[in-house]
Amino acid sequence: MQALASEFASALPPEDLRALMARVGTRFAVAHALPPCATLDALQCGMSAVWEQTDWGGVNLTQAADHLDIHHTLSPLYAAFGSENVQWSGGFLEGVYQQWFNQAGSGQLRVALTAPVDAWGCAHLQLAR
Amino acid sequence: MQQSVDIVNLFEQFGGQTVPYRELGRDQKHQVSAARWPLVSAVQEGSQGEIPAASSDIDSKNDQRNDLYRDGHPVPPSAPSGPVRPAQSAWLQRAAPAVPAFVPVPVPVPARAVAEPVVAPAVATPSFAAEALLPSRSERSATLAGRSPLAGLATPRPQAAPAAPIASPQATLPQDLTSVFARLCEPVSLAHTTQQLAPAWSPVKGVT
Repeated sequence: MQALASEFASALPPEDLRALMARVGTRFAVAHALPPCATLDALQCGMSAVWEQTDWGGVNLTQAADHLDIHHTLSPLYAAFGSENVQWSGGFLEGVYQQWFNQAGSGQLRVALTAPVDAWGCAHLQLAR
Repeated sequence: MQQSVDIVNLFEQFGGQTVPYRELGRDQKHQVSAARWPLVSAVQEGSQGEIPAASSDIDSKNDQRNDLYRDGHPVPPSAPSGPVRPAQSAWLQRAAPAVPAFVPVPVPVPARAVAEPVVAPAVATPSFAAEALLPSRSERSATLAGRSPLAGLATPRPQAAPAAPIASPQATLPQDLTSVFARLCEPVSLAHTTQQLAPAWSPVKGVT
């Protein structure tokens, strides 16, 4: 994975790599479609079940006044792609959550990283207008 | 290999009776610690009666050891005459025992056993015979409470009144996805400006 990341980083700029990772994440979410969920708790349980099944940590969804906090914990992104590639490796999670929220009917709401993936593999994203 | 019978001989030399047997080493250690470190005395004031009694029964020791840290609170040992252990709520609610459990036992101790240490002469170890000359335990506690900032930890805390449950903002928000998405799609009203949207970390522009 480190060699793959190095090759990608040498060939593409970070913005393209982040978009590429987002598309990869979208494919992942399509391949791991969630069951219909009526509540936020059910959606969180469905997401966490996928992450637990693939050993990719877990997620916690928290409502705020004007956005939805997405706390993903213990993902292997940092360990797999290295600290020098956290600027674009988190795009994978953006794509996954964006697709899952689209499937749940989020409409025009967009998922965005608010902080890069840290050394523990934790990422903070937000769903907002 | 022949086993040593020194202990057996010593036991028989003292009559071979198990009834009057009392283990003194633990009490002596407590006395020495209380005299040497004032904070230990202060803590003992608040935890009298919670020191487990020494027992020769291994099963009883293991049982007591398990009970010591149940729920993070020390548990007093069960009474030796009663086979039933007191209920947990009984010792939890007991603020001060009626009978002081820490009773010094008048034991003739050789002076050699309580001699002052050679390595640390500055810390004097008082003999157990001088225990009667010391101020009473309550007087020492009052003195320690005045000079130790941690002495207040030894006193049992009064039970605080149960706080009224505070409704979290998360509980007041709708949980169904339709309402959540609809609320997020609405423009932010003045009532919702307490939490500002954190700036999205976006080193790359145009990624959706």
